[in-house]
Amino acid sequence: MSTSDAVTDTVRAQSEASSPMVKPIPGLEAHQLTKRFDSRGEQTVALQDVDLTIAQGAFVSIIGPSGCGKSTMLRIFADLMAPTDGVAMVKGRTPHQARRDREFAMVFQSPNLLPWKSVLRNVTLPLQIMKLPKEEREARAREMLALVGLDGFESRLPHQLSGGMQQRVAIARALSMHPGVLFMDEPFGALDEITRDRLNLELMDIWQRLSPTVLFITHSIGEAVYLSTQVVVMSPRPGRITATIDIDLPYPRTASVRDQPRFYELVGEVRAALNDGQGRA
Amino acid sequence: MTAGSAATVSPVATIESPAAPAASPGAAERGRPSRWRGRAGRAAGSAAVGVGLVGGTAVLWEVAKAAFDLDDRTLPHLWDVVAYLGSETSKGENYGMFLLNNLLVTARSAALGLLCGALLGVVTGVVIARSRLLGAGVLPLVVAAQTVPIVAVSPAMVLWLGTNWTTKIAIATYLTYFPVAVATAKGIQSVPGDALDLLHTYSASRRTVLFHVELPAAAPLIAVGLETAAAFAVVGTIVGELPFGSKTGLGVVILTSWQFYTIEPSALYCVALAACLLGGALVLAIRLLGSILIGYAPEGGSL
Repeated sequence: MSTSDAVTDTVRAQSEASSPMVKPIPGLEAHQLTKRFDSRGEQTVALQDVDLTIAQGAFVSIIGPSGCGKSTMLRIFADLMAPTDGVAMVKGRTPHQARRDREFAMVFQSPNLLPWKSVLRNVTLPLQIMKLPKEEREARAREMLALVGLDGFESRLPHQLSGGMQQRVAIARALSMHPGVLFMDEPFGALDEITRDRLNLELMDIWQRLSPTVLFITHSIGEAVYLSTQVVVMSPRPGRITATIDIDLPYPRTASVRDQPRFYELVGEVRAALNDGQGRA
Repeated sequence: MTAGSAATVSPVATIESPAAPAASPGAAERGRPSRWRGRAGRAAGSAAVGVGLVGGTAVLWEVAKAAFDLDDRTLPHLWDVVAYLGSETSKGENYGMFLLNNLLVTARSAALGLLCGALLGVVTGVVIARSRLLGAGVLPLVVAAQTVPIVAVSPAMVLWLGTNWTTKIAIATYLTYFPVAVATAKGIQSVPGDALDLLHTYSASRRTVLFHVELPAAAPLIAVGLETAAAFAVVGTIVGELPFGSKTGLGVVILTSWQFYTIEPSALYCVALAACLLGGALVLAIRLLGSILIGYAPEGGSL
């Protein structure tokens, strides 16, 4: 604990020293982040010296083939895994401290709802754990369910909803915590393309309204370009960042953005970066 | 009689289905499943199958008796067994009532033993699932304890605890404990990692994880363990009542019926059937309780 706090201070000190003005604390920061797995004497390098800075309020997608360490990086930020080396920071705090402060929320690939709890009880669960009063947590849950278009479904059980609706509940559950940072691990990966496109639109709308910092993992180039302010391309063995592409598409991004020539140019750039990374690996 | 009522159930289903296609082919397809759809329909179907099986066994009993030419001492007529319920005991009591009173004594001990065994079992299951070290140490002991023949230790337990209800409850507890402990441990270990990760990101306490995720997720398996345990509880209680010294309970009635089997075989069959009924009733009660408490459909959920 104390060592990581000391690291926080040095990171702050460095950023303050580098410019006369006090720089804002980044939403997410990785410094020389390395993760190795040992299994029966064989070593896999999931992440190798990854440096990454994500400004608060940015929407950053990580894209790359399986095994490039993108999930590993997200799990380190979410305090579900400790790095072998290097430092990860969430809003200037260690992942452990950020988790204690309920600074972030996570959306998984599976909706991960508790099947015996109603939609409303699923969404209020984190708030109950945060010891919010009953009226407040129910009000927040209803507000977030309305935001994802699920008002009227509060008393349903998860199995009575479609896969897309279940994932909407999962998003509402994460948002109900009012997180500064939202981790999304291929949240729409298991959905059909039509549902995925619709949820992309809704997520864009939600992000523009609430503006959390989002770290979004995906396999879909189109999804990454459409949603993000920045796309980070990773490649495997060892897992590292091979390209960072700023997405300069205008806001508000409506469905028609996907028809603009600039959208196709950026999709091409990301694809080229992915192929480059593959070639070098 | 029971076989007759089961036979009337199946013709109803077969008579209606050929009649329906004549009216409209679609109606038959839509109409038939809806007859058995819903809880009431399924319950009625299961009940019909149950009644049919009981009736079939009754028929088999009488057929075996006729086919192998068994005398009444080896296998009495079923109606003689049923009629024996109406006879009088040596104390002038109605035998059916006498049996019912003893059954209630056994039922009370079995239910209490089941409750104690279930509580102990759930706690052990949680410990086994939660702590790898403790679990690895405790589980083999639990298994070893289970393989000790209860008939071998029950006389010793009677010496320790006496012939009162505590011995019977202790034996029933001992037998019910194992299936519940194993079911709880398996159920908790089957909770998907994503659910635990989710609760970890909430910084939830172990207590919260246990009561909000692990125990509810394990509940369907615990319910199955409890059903097995319920049957064991009845057998365990009866075994506890067998050793010399007990005065009431189905075990005592079984013991006396053994002694008089050559004179009156129907008595023993009456007690055996009563024990079956008690076991069945307890298992059904547990299942009913389980389906009320676990009112969700696990197969459709995302966990």
